[in-house]
Amino acid sequence: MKNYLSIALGILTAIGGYVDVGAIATAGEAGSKFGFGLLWAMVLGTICIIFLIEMVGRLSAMGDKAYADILREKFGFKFALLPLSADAIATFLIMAANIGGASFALYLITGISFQIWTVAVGFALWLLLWRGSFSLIETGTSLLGLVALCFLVAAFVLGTPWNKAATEIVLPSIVGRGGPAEYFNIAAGIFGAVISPYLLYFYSSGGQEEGWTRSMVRTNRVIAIVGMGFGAVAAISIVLVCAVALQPLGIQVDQLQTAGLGLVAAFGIWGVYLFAATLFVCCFGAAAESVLGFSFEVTQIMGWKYNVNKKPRDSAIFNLIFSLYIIVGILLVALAGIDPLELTIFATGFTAFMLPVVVGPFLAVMNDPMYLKDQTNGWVSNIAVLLIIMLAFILSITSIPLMIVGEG
Amino acid sequence: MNRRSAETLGIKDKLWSARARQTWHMLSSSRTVRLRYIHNIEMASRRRSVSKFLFLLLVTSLTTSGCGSYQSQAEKYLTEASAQIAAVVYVLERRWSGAFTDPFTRSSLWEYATAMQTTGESLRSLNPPFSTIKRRASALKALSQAQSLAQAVGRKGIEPNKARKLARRLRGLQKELKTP
Repeated sequence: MKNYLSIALGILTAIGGYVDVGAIATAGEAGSKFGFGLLWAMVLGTICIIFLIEMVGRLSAMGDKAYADILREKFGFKFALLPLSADAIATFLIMAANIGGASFALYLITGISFQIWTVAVGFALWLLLWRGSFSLIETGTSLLGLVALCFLVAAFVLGTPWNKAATEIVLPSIVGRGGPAEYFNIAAGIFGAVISPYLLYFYSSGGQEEGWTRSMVRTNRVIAIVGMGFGAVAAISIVLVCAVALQPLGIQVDQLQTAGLGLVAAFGIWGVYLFAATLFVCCFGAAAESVLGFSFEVTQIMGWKYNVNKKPRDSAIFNLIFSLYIIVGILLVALAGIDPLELTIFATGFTAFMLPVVVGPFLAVMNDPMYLKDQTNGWVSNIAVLLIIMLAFILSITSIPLMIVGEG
Repeated sequence: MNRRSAETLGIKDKLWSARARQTWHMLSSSRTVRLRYIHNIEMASRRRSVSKFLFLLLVTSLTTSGCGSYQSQAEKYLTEASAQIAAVVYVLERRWSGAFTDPFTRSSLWEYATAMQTTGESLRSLNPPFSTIKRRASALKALSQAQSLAQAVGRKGIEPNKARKLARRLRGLQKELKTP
């Protein structure tokens, strides 16, 4: 019974964690500019994240250490600093962009200054992490994150040509409102948004927080496949809705609020509220998961105490890290007035650039019987990791030039 | 090259090949060592081909994405501007039909106006060829008008009954962007 509950919670976690400001922005842009032409990137990115999530989950279930902990132990402190420093930048950008996204949702609905909402959202986030337990943060944001499935309903309401969409996953076309550079730039952005390193650290540490054992290995597999699959459905639905409702009108999702116009076409006035709710909940949840994931990573690599469920004084540094991150994030978005969408573009581009550092060590860690005993990678998982590492290298080399040229 | 240096080189060649033969003999004495030697050569050539591939990939990605001529850059910004006006028209039409509340209309139009300003600045920063100066000027004028209209709604809001009229006017400005 406990395992079934874990499956349900894991699925919900995945839905909540998958759709964030990056996914909404890149999926909306992809659909409105290239129709169904970039669905393949979403599907491929999902397959990659399913494999990676399954692996870090298995690692947590088979031992008493999380992924970041193992990185330091296996490769040494100096090596572990490499992914840590890359994640420090990427996670900060992602967290700030998500705080901005959640604030933007409230600004759209109320018309009250975006800056004021940024401070309020940042404070609410800090309070939740400071006072809330791990399960409250996980289940609360994830359950509410189900609202993102309104895009799936909208895709049905708008009469999506499913056959055409399915065909374009296998045989994509680059025809649309943009050149090849923009096409591949958005594709790189999708990978950067879907394969978020913070998800790996958060999921791996979550397994430790919940005391996973060997019995969770199979459950973890189901969670990874079904959960991430559901998350992908929500993100793919955004592509579909924007392709069906906005592309024929010549509207491009270059602004966050434009992604919501597709929902308005399906639900009328309710579309505005549903979009604002989706944007707020998903961004708030992602901001919480990203900053927690980073705090876990820092404390595990440095060998400090970490635990969300303990009182702040018992894991002081852990609490200090996320508090500082949130404060600096608020200052960046509210005072410097940086557009959350611009931050998102940089965050997804930078994530794509640093992917090899994060996924590279997987091959060595997942084949080490010291950590996985008899559950080391089989040939399918090893081939998948190799392909993911290759993809990560290609993305790393091309993402920055594409971002410069593609964004003009 | 004189005869003496050619002879010296020949001796050097012979010495080198003798040393290489000796090395090979030493290496071939053990099968494992020989295999490792071959493996090392293979790895080195593989590394070379991988780095060649990555370099080619980088060059291709830079060239295919192109540094962009004026025409392609201008087209990109004009499409962007046209899409922004289309979004404003969409919002205003929904405002007329009662689907959008005043705060949503105001905040989203304010954001579109800011985006239009950025697009206009990007378009203005390009150096057009002589033949396209006129077209760019009229496009910039239309975009600037659309931006001020959106900004005004963003600041003051708009009554539903006036929204449709404004949407029609903006649609006209959108057409002016496309007219060569």
